[in-house]
Amino acid sequence: MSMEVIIEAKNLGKTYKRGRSEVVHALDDINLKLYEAEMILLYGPSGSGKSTLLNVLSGLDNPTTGTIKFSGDDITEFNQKQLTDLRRNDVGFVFQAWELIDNLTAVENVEAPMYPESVPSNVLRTDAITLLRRLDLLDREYHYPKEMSGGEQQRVALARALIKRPKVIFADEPTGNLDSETGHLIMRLLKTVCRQGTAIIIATHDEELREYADRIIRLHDGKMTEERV
Amino acid sequence: MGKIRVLKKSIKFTVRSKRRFIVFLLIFAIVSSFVTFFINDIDTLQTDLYLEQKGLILNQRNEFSVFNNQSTRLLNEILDIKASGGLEAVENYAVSRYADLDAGLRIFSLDVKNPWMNADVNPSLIQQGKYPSTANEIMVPTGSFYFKSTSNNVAIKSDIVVGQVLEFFDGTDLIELTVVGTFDTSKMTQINVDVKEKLWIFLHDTTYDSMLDLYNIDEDASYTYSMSFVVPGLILSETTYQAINDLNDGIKVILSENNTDSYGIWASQAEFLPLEDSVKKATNTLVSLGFAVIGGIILSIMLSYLISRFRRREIAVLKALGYSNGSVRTTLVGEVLTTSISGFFVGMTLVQGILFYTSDFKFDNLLRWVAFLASFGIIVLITLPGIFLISRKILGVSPSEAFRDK
Ligand SMILES: Nc1ncnc2c1ncn2[C@@H]1O[C@H](COP(=O)(O)OP(=O)(O)OP(=O)(O)O)[C@@H](O)[C@H]1O
Ligand SMILES: [Mg+2]
Repeated sequence: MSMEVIIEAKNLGKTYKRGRSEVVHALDDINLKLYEAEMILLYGPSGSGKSTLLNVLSGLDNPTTGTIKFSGDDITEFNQKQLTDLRRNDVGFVFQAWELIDNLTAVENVEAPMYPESVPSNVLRTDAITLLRRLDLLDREYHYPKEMSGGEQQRVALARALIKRPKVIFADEPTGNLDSETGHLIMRLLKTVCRQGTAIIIATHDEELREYADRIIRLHDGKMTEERV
Repeated sequence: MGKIRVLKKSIKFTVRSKRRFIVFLLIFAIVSSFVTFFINDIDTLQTDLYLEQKGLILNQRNEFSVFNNQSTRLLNEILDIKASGGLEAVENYAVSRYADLDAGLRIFSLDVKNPWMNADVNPSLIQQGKYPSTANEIMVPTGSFYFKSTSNNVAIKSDIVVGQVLEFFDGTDLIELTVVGTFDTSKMTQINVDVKEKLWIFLHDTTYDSMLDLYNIDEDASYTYSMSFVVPGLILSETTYQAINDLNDGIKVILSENNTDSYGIWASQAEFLPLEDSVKKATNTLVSLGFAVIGGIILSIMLSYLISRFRRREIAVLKALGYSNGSVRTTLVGEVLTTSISGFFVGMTLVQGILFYTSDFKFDNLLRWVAFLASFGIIVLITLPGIFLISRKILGVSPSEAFRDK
């Protein structure tokens, strides 16, 4: 059985200008394939370009050079609307600081990405609650973010990323603000999601999490090396 | 469907962030009450100035009565006057009549469709209740009356109050009149108010005629005490002012022909307020309104700026979640509008309350619908620059900002 390629990046480069003359090569000649149901862990010291790579691969930011095929389409050629549609339909994000919206309850935070869509509200509610229960957040549906622990909030954020059934989830240091035990809980949940077909790329510092990876990519000054597990 | 849900949720979530919502709501309420207040001022200016600026009043001289047929003849002549442009000089008119039905009862006719055209008894005199608006509604002067019988000198003194129903019955026909308002006679200049030996009733034109019928009073025993004319055009405009002068000249010519037999004897025309004075009055209110509007615009820009500046990350997150610029805009604009419109309703209630407790006349003379709608429109307009600012700022927020370190 061959797995479908979801993202194929070729010769990616990203440079930032700093000040008048200094140029930072945040990404330098990155070549990468991401398959469905695959989990990639992205390691590298601070400033090595992990976040930049996630941004570029997910279409949040444009690379300076290179191409990115997403399900066959080159997203570096996409216009604003196509990029919005990509985010609407195919990608989910999990952030280091969760980024839940304060005055929305857990279930509303999960539903939020779907508010602009034409899904009936009751169907949406059922779906969101089912997701929260799957992530072991029974009885937390109507709590506000500030009433929940970090791990609980991160699970809400994961449910929010999953509600659209994305093809890929991009997670930037999803365990960075959590204690080790909770971090492992989140990783196990991500792994389950991944096994069900969603590709996941995680940027992290935490070497303890190696065991969850299908593949490990290391970045150093924007250059990548791949490591078998 | 999606956009509507985004808006609905936005309203719901705005109200939920109580502290932020209430603070801005109160500020908007203050601005709104100023706007509403000045709009109301302008609105009443419009009615106060209506006769002053567009109208001419012809009054009976107290010692001479003008018969109905005389005033009708004069009216027809005046309606034929042309203004300098060759057009009809008169756009609208009202004739105020009175008749003594018996020794204890005098009735006055009201043109209830044009209450501000009555020279002497307009809605601003109302002390309790409201100005009559239908055929069986009447108003009476505030205070007590002596009901004098026809046969001898005995009189009964009594109060007449709002809500009271007066029935007039001649054995076959019944006329039922409800007192809906009482008014202050001290501000009237034309109707002589010395003697209160009679019950005075101010009623609808058509009911006036029915009452004459009921009492079998001949038309000739009905008198005209005043006629008012309104010229076409806007108040405070030079051309309207010119038209008034034309009409005034025309009337002078008719009355100077020494036709007192056919037209009756009329008092000379009262001076009308110089245009500059009215303009000054209006300008003052407009300037105040202008300041209130500018204050409101600054406020809405401030709120929008705060939202787009300090909630940049939230905007970035929404975009990362797949919200289009339009959906983000709906969310934030919904928030601004929810706040400003709620503020408006609070401010308006405040103004209504102040008007209610400070003005002599109640009910009808609170905010009129026109003033209400105009104020509402202005509040929505005031928020437009802020909405525009938000829309611009949204475009500048990249979803990748959600990934940046705090
Ligand atoms: N918007 C930007 N403008 C200029 N330089 C940038 C910008 N974003 C990132 N950089 C630079 O690009 C390089 C890579 O940054 P990036 O945020 O991708 O690193 P990272 O691996 O995610 O680091 P960390 O582990 O601290 O999150 C850094 O040198 C950073 O200073
Ligand atoms: Mg980073």
